[in-house]
Amino acid sequence: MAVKKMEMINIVGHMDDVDEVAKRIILSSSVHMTSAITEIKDNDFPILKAKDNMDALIDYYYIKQYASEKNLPEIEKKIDAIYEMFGNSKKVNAEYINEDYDFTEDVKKLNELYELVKGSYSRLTELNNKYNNMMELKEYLSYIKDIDVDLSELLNMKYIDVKVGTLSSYDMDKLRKNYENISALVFKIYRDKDYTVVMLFIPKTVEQEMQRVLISLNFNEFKITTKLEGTPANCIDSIEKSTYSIKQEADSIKSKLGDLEENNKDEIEKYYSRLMMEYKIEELKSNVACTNEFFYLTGWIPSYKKSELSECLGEYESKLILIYKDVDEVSEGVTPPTCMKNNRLLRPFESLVKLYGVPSYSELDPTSFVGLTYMLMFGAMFGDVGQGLVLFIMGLIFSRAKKRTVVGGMLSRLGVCSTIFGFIYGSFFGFEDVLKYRVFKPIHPMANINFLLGAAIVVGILMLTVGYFYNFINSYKVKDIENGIFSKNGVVGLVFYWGLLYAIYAGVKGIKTFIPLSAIVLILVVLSVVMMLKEPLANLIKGKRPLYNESKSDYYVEGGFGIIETLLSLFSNTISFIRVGAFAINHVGLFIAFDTLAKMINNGAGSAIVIVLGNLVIIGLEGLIVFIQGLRLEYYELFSKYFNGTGYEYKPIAL
Amino acid sequence: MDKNTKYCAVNAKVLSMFGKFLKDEDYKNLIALKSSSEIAKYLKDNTAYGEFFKDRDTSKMHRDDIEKCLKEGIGHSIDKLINYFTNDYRDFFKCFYSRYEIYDLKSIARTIQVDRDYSQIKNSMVFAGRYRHIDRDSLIQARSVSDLIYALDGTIYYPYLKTLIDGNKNESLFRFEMTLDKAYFNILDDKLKKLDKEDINIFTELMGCSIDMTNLQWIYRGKKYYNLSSEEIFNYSLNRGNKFSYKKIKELCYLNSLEEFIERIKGTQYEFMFKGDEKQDIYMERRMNRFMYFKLKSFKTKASLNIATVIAFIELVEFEIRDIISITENVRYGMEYDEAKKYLIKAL
Repeated sequence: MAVKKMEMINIVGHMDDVDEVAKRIILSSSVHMTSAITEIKDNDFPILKAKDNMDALIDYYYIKQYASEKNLPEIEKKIDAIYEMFGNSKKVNAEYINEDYDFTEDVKKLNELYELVKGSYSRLTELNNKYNNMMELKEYLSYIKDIDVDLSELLNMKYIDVKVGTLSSYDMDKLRKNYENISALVFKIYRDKDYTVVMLFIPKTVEQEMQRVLISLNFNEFKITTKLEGTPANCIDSIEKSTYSIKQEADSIKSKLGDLEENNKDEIEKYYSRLMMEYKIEELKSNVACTNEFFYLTGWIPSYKKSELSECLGEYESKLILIYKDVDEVSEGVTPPTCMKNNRLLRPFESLVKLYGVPSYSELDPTSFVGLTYMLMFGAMFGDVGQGLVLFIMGLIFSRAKKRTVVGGMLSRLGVCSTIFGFIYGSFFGFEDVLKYRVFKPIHPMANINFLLGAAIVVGILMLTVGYFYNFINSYKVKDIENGIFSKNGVVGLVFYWGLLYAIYAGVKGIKTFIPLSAIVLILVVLSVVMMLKEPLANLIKGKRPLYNESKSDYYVEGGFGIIETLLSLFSNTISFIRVGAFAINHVGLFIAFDTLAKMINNGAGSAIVIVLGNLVIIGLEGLIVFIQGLRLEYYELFSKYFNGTGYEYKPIAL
Repeated sequence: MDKNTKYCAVNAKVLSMFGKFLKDEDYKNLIALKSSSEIAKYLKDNTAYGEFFKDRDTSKMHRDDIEKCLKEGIGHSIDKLINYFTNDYRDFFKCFYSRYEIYDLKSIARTIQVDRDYSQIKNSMVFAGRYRHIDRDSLIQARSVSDLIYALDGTIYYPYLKTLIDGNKNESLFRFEMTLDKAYFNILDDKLKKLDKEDINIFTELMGCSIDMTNLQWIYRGKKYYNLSSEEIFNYSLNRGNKFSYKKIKELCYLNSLEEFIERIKGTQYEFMFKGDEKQDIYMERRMNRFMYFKLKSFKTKASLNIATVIAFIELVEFEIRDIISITENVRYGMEYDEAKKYLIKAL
């Protein structure tokens, strides 16, 4: 739970080991890489303190960014080619990466394999190109298929050259506007929104000039390489025949490779997995600084993953200089990434928090609070046994079948809460008379409107109070006296809030307060003055000068309005929670509307359809609204009290 | 969307950004400086560009470094402004800005074809891929113009460029540049159509002048230097001019001699381009820019709730940056103040 402690990791090692170390770091998937060069520039890199390896020091002045020498795309092309021939899908198999291997050996073997299939592969690509060319030709011919001319005559004229191709509509427009100066006949044979297919008849004497003009028009010529005889319609027939035979030849080539494929299926998967690893290694190394002999690597690692990393490094650990530094040892201004870790129940709600912002390293991770309150509020607003179960099942489908764990996880949890509240409200797909109770009496929302609204506000007040405490802790962590004690979200703010609530409650109910009401009002006024003076007070305690960051008059004008704003926002933040109760009632109301419709139809099947439809609408529409309203309460009413979300996420490099 | 919601905020922002332009005083000071590193230092310490020189060692900065920093500055202000617009308007501005991307692509192409100094490619890329995906790594690895085109597969430029792939090697750079420019105006035109009528009119009026001048300059150069056929000149000319419709442009393209051409321009508002003095060709670009400079300035003062203020700002920032670059270049030639200011867009 909460934000994990991070440490900065610095590794120095010999260049010969860089690939292997990189590989092991990736396999441990525990290090969030940072650029070593920047780190060295900021002097955070502790190499100068590492007295036991003088060689590294001597080379220090030749530090440069690591530059890759491997030509991985070349290898990938070959693997792609083989995959295409074998026709199976790419897959990374971690098994092949975990074992010891030498990638250069693999590349050699891969090249041997590639040599075997190269011949067939190039033939296949050739056939493919031919096929595509034929299909394109067929398309062009289809535009002119109604002409009754022998194409071989048309294309082989002695004094006239024939060209086919496309022009963009912009260029076509240019051509049209200047047609009188063009020394060719232009036939539009097909026209689309973006381009025009044209056929040009150019006298051979002006071919050169015309070519230049066509270039300036960006003419996309289609060169006819196939021999054409007979009318366009005849040609289309013969093209169809030859494309069929091309297809057949391609198939036969592929089937011949069957044996080879069977023998090498695992091999190629191995090469592919390792290639992907190489790419990752290169990615990692792009952050590495190096000299001729040594490499330097920096990153962040959560403390609890240190043992995992050391296990992965194995015997290499003794060959490396490994230095861990605590966050407070790192120079100021460098903030570590935030690694959030929550238990299974709450993990999906991390994404709700991240949607707003990743908590900074020094902040509390609000996920547990958000998760619990969000489930509570959603359940209260959308309490129904049947509909809740539908959501739960949808959630399971999402997470199991569609692999959308976050959405699925959230939906299923919300569904369960909805079901629980459904039992409390006694509602099953909207019907409040289906469930039979022995132990307790259900609270039907429509019958207990005032109770529900009141309860919602009370729950809201409790949640807001917890929010205050979050802010106290966050402010304490960064030693922010102004925000933690004197501001409207600080200790003073909370006392003010509860004082105000007490005074109002006592006033409304006519209860005798433990001290006179006027004294409470006086305390409240004093507290609001303290809130107004928060900046000078905080600076006074810290001994910071000047007391005001801006001009005094500006500060007090702003502070004066600030008090009014505080009052208003306390009021509105509290009242805002009434929606939790209101939506619970609304939920029933919506169903009543559909129920009435069903009764008006007064026919078995029709009514059933309306009820089913109504339930679908309620689950879809109402579910969405409640989802958003809950989010609003979390973000606006609660996060604004205590959450900054200015951190960045911990993303370890991993395969 | 309502004009108030669309322009009130962004215009306020832009007007405050206008306040950060260099003052005449700054220009004088800059011209008086003796080296590019001094200029960089001045910009860092005394101007709004300072933040883009932050953390940079100015003592070794050359013209290219300064240019890169200033371009970063443009990118920064673009990022700010784009956030004020939504949907079609945002699209339009992104396209409007793709000319900077095109600058980048052109300079990459030139590096590849002419300088052959491949290590420079990475440095030329300030904007490439800023708003739309461009595969920067493949661009860096390109070793010929056709490699470059392949690397652009999947971008908005590719459909325009793909016909160039197996073309003539010697001309490929020229055609690459021309096609990109044409693509830019084409794409922009498409996006422009989706704006409000008032904004379309203002934009066409502003940019129409620029297009007119570019066309005239193109015809002049095509006839004088490149020896192109009239058809080619016409095909590469731009649409949507203000004073010169395609008919007039066509007539100009088909004139037999340069003298006749210049005769035709006499009496139009663009007469100043062809004054007939000996430095006419050198000054032409600067004269065109200065014409636009005054036009934009007048648009800015008329500021109302439309696209004019933003466009004026964008263009004027670019002019200012070009001026700073010119000043940096002038330093190398050791020009005096009176001589140096002749090469600036801003009238001092």
